Amino acid sequence: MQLDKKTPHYLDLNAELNLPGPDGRIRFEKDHEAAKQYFLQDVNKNTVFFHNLREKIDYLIENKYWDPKTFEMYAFEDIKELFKRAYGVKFRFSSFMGAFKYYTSYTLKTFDGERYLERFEDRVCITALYLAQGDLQLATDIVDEMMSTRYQPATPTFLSAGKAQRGEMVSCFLLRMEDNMESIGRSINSALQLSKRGGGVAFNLTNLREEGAPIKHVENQCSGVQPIMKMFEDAFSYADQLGQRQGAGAAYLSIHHFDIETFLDTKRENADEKIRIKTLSLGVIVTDAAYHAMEAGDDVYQFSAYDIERVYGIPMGDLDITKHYQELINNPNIKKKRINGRVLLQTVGEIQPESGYPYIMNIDTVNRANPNPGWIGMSNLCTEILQTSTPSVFNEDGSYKVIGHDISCNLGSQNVVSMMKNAPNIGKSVEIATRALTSVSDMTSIESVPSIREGNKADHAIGLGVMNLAGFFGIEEMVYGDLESLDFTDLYFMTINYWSLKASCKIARERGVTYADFPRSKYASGEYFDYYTSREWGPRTEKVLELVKKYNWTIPSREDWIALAEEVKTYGLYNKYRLATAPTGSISYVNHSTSSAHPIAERIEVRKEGKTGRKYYPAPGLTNENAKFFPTAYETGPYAIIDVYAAATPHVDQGMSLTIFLEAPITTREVNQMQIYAWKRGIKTIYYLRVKQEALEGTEVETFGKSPAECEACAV
Amino acid sequence: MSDNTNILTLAISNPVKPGKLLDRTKAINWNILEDQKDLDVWNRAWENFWLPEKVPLSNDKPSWATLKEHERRTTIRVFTGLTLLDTIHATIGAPSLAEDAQTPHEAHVFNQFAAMESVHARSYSSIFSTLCLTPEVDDAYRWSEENPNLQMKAKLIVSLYDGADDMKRKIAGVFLESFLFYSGFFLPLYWSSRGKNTNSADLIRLIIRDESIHGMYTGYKFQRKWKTLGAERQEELRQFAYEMLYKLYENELKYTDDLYSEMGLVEDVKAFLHLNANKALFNLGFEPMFPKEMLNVNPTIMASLFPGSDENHDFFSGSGSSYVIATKELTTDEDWAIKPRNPLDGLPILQIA
Repeated sequence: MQLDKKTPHYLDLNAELNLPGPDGRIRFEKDHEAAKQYFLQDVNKNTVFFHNLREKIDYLIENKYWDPKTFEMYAFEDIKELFKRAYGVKFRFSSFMGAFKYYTSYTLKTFDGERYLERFEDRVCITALYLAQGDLQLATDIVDEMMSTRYQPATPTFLSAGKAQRGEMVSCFLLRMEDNMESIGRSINSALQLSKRGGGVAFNLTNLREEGAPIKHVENQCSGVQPIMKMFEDAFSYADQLGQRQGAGAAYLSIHHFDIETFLDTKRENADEKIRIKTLSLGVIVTDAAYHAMEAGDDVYQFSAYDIERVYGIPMGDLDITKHYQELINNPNIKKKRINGRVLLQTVGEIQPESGYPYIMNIDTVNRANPNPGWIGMSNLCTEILQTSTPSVFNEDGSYKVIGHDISCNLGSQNVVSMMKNAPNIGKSVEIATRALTSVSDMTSIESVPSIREGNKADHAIGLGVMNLAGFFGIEEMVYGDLESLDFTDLYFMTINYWSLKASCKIARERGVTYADFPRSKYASGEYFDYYTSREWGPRTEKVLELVKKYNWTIPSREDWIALAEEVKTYGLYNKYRLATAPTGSISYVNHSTSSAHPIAERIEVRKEGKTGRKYYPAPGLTNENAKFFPTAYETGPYAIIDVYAAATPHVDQGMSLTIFLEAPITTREVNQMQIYAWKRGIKTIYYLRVKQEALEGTEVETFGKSPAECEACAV
Repeated sequence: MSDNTNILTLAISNPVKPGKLLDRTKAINWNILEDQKDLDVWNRAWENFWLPEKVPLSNDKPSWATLKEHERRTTIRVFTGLTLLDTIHATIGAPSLAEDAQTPHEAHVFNQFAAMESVHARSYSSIFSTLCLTPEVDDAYRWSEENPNLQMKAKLIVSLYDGADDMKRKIAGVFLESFLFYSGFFLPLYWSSRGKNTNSADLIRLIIRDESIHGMYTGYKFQRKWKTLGAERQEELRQFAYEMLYKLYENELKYTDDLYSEMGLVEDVKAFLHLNANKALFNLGFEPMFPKEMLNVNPTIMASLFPGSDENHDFFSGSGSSYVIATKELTTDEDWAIKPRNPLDGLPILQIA
């Protein structure tokens, strides 16, 4: 702003992207100019210069910026070749937002935060060298996958890999909480420790006894789940990852828990300050039993978690409530109450437009699709992680009597547009991504939370996902949610699943190690493969048939699946969970992808984050000509999104972050109808509800500053 | 009307004398409308109800700490200035506009505005208590009481609110809500575009969302009555409006100088004043005062102004400024009876030649 008037500031240029030109066209060139000016005005000036790679590596190791271990495993000549290879791609950021996001959030900076020490190519090479652990071929492959934008590791990995001062590379943790003070105390400690190391932590509160439950047999002593939520909220805001990423937490509770109404009320617009929960994310676990009761217009029962644990000998969160529903209702030893089911769902539908929460987890759908033994009781901060866990038992001094298995997951995403460009080699790309993710799991050992450490050691769970699906639809002129787009989604995710199994099996075979529970899984029994071996696979629309030919894409056939089932049976799998589609916020800007499998939020998205402020981002792939193939999520409506996610879901062993976008005014019934549809279409989880409200007539900005012709133009 | 207003009407803490059309103790009937706009605005206003407690202001603490001392001082002063204006509008402005109501429903809409103005005034205090130390805040309040230009605009507006002319009252209301607030709104929007204090900016965006409706509606009511007046009276009001706006504008220039010269933002804020002065006139149905060349508002601020809720925030660092209150409606048997199917089911597989 204080710059001379001749060269516009890059932020001004970026903002002009949001102000249409006189002819009504989107001024993409303003954003390109913004990216260029950003480099000229900021990045180039503030990047520390080195004469050569040797000098750079020595300096950054000596000054404790890069981890020396990253380089010790390779010959210098090989490292040099690798950097050459990366720089040879001549990578350029496709948007201002991508460049800005990379330089503000990922790149290595001097300790005073003033100067940049890495370029994008450097970060990619360091990540590859670090993850490949001395395997030069793998490092080269990872560089190729990342520089071609086919693969992008999730934020914590891309941010931390190879740095000397860093958080963990694993982003996502899910912790059980048992109904005793040792476990609650331990959980607070874990929340602090994990938050300090990055990413988000989710807790399941379902096991905890309800408000008014007895303590040491004295009735009306327990104060319920709300005060615990408050403690966690404070713990998360205290700890962040070296200030790089704020701590974030989520709490899940079953719709059958006694405290469910209090739990929901914490997010109400008029909630009292004492009970209000501002930054903790909430998720409600909904059973088929509850949905069926609502369907019939009946009440939904809430049961005492305290009584369930005493009667069944297992905590409420581990109980298949749908299976035992009638039995629980009839058991006089279990305290219960009931709420009209549709009214309860309406309450959920009231709070979502006010706050975006709660998430929804359809627990019975999740468990039916679980290929592994055990019960999945919760999801995570982004509702894409769905894994089993086992409880820990504590001694009175807080030490472990039994170390249970808690859940961690490291994520990465593949860009559908870039993957399809290289369709004949999809298998190789999936294998490299799987190996990169597996490396993160192998290299991670969270000592501060032993239950996470042990869970990871036994499971090697990873989560490979997609982004830029809507970008691919747009470029190929398919309409999001139409039959063709569903056909493509089904076959694409099936292909990825096939190669993911193949890769995990290859790793197990090389190492002679499977994940611990493999022998008891539906993979080992072969049951998992019935879905694939009982039918033929191929395109069902002309459009997708055309794409198969155009991209030279080989779709795994029924015979391929039969052979794969045999292979897996013989050698096993290394990763207990393999696939999960994350929401991909930040990394999709850097990668220039539409996020996740969602439609675009806006053609020019107004993005606000704590670290970057308010910025403007053009939808990847969008031009002034193809705008009609880039409908916004508000235009497609929630049903199209649910259909696309429903097409992908059978091929994803974990979950997918499915955001719902609604335009105000909203009724709770609309929200509920969409939830009913999602449940009936086999959707596992629902993430945020985002709301958009058009300006009231007469208050639009355009009406006082511009001519009417320009107003029309804004409606693009 | 949805029953979600029941829980929220409690928020109206402002004792307001009933509008002139209501003093026969007639119960208001929202089913008989004299002006459809009353219901539209009422609905939107309640749909947009919010309280500052939902915004995690404490997440701004790290970026607040990076501001230089004079930047902090300016920011606090901006907020005390805004607090003063909101206080005036909540306690004197909106209630007096309610008294002038031309339809019974209009009075209730202004009551809602009054309640929200109190919420706005309260919000700035939330920012103070979260981010600032007491002496800093006390200092800023003292500044707001002693700054002659701030006091001047307060006095001008209050004198109109207290006056005998209902149309001039409306003019004052529009000038306050569409013009005078914006010299203050500039700074949080500026910070937000620079990646600082983004949660305070969320709060300001919520306030802008409200003010844009208040200014539009007050102006609309002005224009509605204007049409019924004789030419002479119309001319008197038109002249009065331009003169008053110019007086306020001159004062606003001095105020802007007091506030922003230390940060070197005076010229940017001025362009913003011109734009908003034109908007205030637009709301009253009058021609703009400033030519296009003088509306060269910084694009980062311009692009933040859209009152629609288009901001796609990340949930880890803020609560956003786009959430609304939904109307309650239970699902029915038909909603539950749906039997959706996968549209791909049953379609034959095409052979890849």
